[in-house]
Amino acid sequence: MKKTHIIAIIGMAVAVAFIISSVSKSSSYAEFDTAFKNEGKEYHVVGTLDKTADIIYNPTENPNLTQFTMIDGEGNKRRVFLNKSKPQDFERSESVVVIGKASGEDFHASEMLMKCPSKYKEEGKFQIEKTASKRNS
Amino acid sequence: MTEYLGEHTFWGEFGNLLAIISISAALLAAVSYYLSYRKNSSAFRQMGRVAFWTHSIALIGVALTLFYMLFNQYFEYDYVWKHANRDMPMRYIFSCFWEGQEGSFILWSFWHVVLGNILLLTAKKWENLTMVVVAGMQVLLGSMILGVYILDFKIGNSPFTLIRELPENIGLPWTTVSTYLQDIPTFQDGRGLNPLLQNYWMTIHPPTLFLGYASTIVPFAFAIAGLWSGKLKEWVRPAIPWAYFSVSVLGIGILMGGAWAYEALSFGGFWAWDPVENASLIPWITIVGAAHVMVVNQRKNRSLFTATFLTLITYVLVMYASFLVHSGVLGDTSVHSFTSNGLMRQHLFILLSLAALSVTMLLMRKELKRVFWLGSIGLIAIGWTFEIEVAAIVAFLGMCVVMSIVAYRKFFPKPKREEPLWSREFWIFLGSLVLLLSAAQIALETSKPIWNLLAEPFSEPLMALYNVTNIEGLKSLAEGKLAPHSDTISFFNKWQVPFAFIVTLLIAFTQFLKYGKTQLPKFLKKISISFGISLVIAVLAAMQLEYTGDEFVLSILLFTTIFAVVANLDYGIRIMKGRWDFAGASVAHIGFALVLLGYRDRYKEDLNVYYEIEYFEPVSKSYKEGDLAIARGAVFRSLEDHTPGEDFVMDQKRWDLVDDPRTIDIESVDRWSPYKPGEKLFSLNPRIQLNPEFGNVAEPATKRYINRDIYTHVRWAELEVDSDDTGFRTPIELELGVGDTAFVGSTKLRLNALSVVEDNEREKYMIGSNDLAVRASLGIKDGNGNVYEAEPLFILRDSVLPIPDPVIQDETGLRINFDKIDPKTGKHTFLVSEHISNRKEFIVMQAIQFPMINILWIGCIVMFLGTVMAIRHRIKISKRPRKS
Repeated sequence: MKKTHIIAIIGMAVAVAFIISSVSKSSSYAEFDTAFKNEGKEYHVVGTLDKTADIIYNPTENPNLTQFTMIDGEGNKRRVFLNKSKPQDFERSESVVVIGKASGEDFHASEMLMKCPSKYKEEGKFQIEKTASKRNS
Repeated sequence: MTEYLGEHTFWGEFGNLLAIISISAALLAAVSYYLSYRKNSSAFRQMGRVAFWTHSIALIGVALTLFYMLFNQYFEYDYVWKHANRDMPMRYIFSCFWEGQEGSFILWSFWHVVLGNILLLTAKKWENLTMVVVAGMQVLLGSMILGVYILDFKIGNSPFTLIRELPENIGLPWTTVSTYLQDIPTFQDGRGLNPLLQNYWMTIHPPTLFLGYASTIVPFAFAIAGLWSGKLKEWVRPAIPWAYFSVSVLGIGILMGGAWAYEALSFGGFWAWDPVENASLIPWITIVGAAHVMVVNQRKNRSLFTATFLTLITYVLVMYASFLVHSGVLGDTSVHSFTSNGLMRQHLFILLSLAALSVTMLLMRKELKRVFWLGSIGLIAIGWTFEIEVAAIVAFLGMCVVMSIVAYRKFFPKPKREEPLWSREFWIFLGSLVLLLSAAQIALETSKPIWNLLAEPFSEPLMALYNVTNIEGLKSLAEGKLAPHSDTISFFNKWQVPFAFIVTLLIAFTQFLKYGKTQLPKFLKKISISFGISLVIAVLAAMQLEYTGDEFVLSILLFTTIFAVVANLDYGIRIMKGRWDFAGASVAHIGFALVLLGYRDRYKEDLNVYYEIEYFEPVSKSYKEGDLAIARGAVFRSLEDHTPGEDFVMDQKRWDLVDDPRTIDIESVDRWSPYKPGEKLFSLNPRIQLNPEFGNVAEPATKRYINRDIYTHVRWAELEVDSDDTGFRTPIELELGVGDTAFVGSTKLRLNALSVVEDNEREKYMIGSNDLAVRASLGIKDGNGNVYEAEPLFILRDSVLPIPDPVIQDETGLRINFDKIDPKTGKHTFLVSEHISNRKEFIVMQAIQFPMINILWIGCIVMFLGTVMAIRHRIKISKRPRKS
């Protein structure tokens, strides 16, 4: 067998290993519903912060624990325990992705990504005051 | 038509006109150069040049117009409004320019113009075809900033769009008001630059990175030109200096991004394997591979297909990087905030065109080209008519792969003899394959959002496959819900560390091998010195870093990187004898190894070399229970673990007088000493930039030492104090049953009991005879362990109307209101608020130690110098007449 063949075979084996590891070890996006049905399995849940509920962050107790309530895409609310300090401007966030596992009644997140009001979206910014628009008509 | 007051519409129209001239001239240049190639006519060539120069001037005009508008703050323009404001210092005007996508496309195009003009003057016989590629690409890129509609299909986003002309604003009442600029406060000032981007990195990083991206078009153009004109091999030589240039500039651009993240952004490190970072790293890895096999090809006439393939794919990957970043497909997977630009289809079209162009050129026979084209057009037709576009794209990509393999089998020369095992060309070839695999792994993982999209038409077979194999990921893929690996950094490191291990090992010894055949004993003799030295250094370093057995892989990497540095030093000094002309490769390799060596410790995040210090944690309790100390002429015994205060009198309750000092060994007892912090070593100012528009941004501060950095950033700070007139915070609602405890700040509350207020107590509490009152007995324990009590009442006036009767507990600064009784659940509601003076002001700060980070910076500089040396050397060679 030629050296190039051996290399090709090794290369392909590594490539197959990538794909298998990529797929099998992947986490998956899900709603709370699924996550709580499969307790202990890791999921990414996309949703929004429930701004009516308390955000509890008590750094003197535990600087790496933030508790809040999140509403997922289907509108289900769950209490989330995030093992991180409370991000700056958390209250202003537009959407959040929590990565973690369901446990009992709560979702324990090890990681969170959050999107703040983005510069590309400025809804209602240009609504003219009513007085101004009336002037012309 | 309304006459609008105060608009500067001339500049927008001027800019748009220039953009149209620019794209038309680029198209003309491409066509003229093509005709010049076909007809071998210098007249067409001259026309091509003039057209490209016109294009260059127009494009620079576009850029200057946009600068002018930003400088003069014409806030009626969307781009100006979004990226500039009145408060912003003028030095950030460049950052404003390329903060948005339109600006960054102009920047990219600008670099193509610069490089195109150099190419035009230096490429000589390659001018025609390479310029067809560059000018053609300028047409595609230019279309991204065109902003015109063709049959409902929007082509490009123009940076010269007025806000009132934006699709979402058209038809709104205010757009018909002639004085809208004066009436609407929003137009008085722009939103300005994101505070994250207000630093010098934003001024230098994007232009460097985009120069890196743009530079990859030159080797790509040479490869296309070579294949097009059937000069399979000849294109390599003039392309090598350009490939080196790409390696150098793109590499520096990427490292600058890391330096920026490290220095100015609170991401907590140099490289986080974020999709946006990865997107730029992938083409760098492939161009590095390409540059190496190109050199091999020059020396040994081998690896031609690999060189061609890597060069072509690099530029496709550059476009893919732009696609990932700009089109919004990354969505939730990146911390960088990107939303869709609405140009996904156009961007995808450009990307697939580049792939189609590459494959067409690889297929060197007309019939095959036709087959490929018919196939592609067929797929487009089928995709559109049956609305199965995604499946058509997958089929197209599959066809590209198959056709590339066909091209490799049919048209590329296969050397009759294999390269000898101990030859430089064999190991360089192997190295470039490893690089390709490494790039593929990063690309596969980073592209997960794309997988989800591509898998959509195949969800049923994937589901069936899941049912057979039970691999969870297949199900996620079928549902389009595949998510990135949750522990991204360690996942990537696990895969990439072995690659880094192989690559550094190859870097170390490959230079010692000769092209052709190497005498193994001689080679071993030469390499053994650096091997020995490195082994000693690595062992010492590993001991210094206290590596343990389970850090075996890291120890190996430590060794291979040190080996790479030492061997290349040795090679540069002993073999090349300091001939600087030839030493570029050695220097660049040393730089690369140093970067890896400096980055190395970030691997250990999970193994806890990177550690955090939370500053509000109590200082160590220096006196333990039972400790003895002499104070005020007597011996005292400590009653509890504690930290001494400034004065013994204040601490006295923590000490108990020893009645009979004769029972203890008085000699061994020290005097009581107050707590003193150590000497001040340095001060750092991590801060939070306050920005009402974009939100507050933490800026780190770093103390730099020669052998380590101490990096600190503020993780959390209470910036807005909420309190009412009396100085109490917004109350917290606690639901307590009897026996339950809860925390408010650092104070602990316990509901001990509930009791009805008896008739004989009514006077004491000043409540009427018709009122119903329930008393709660609360135990309150403050942070120091002192215990207090509070007895708030729940009062129903005339047994109907609840009367708030807050109790203030002075020592703990709590105001407690017994709000509700719920006999059903037994959980009663208390509203508790803290006095603002109660809580100490504090911040949460994270400090991370980065050992040896300076090696990384030195490595960056060394690598850059090395590549520059190599470019110089290569330019010299390519000017030399060809020996044949």
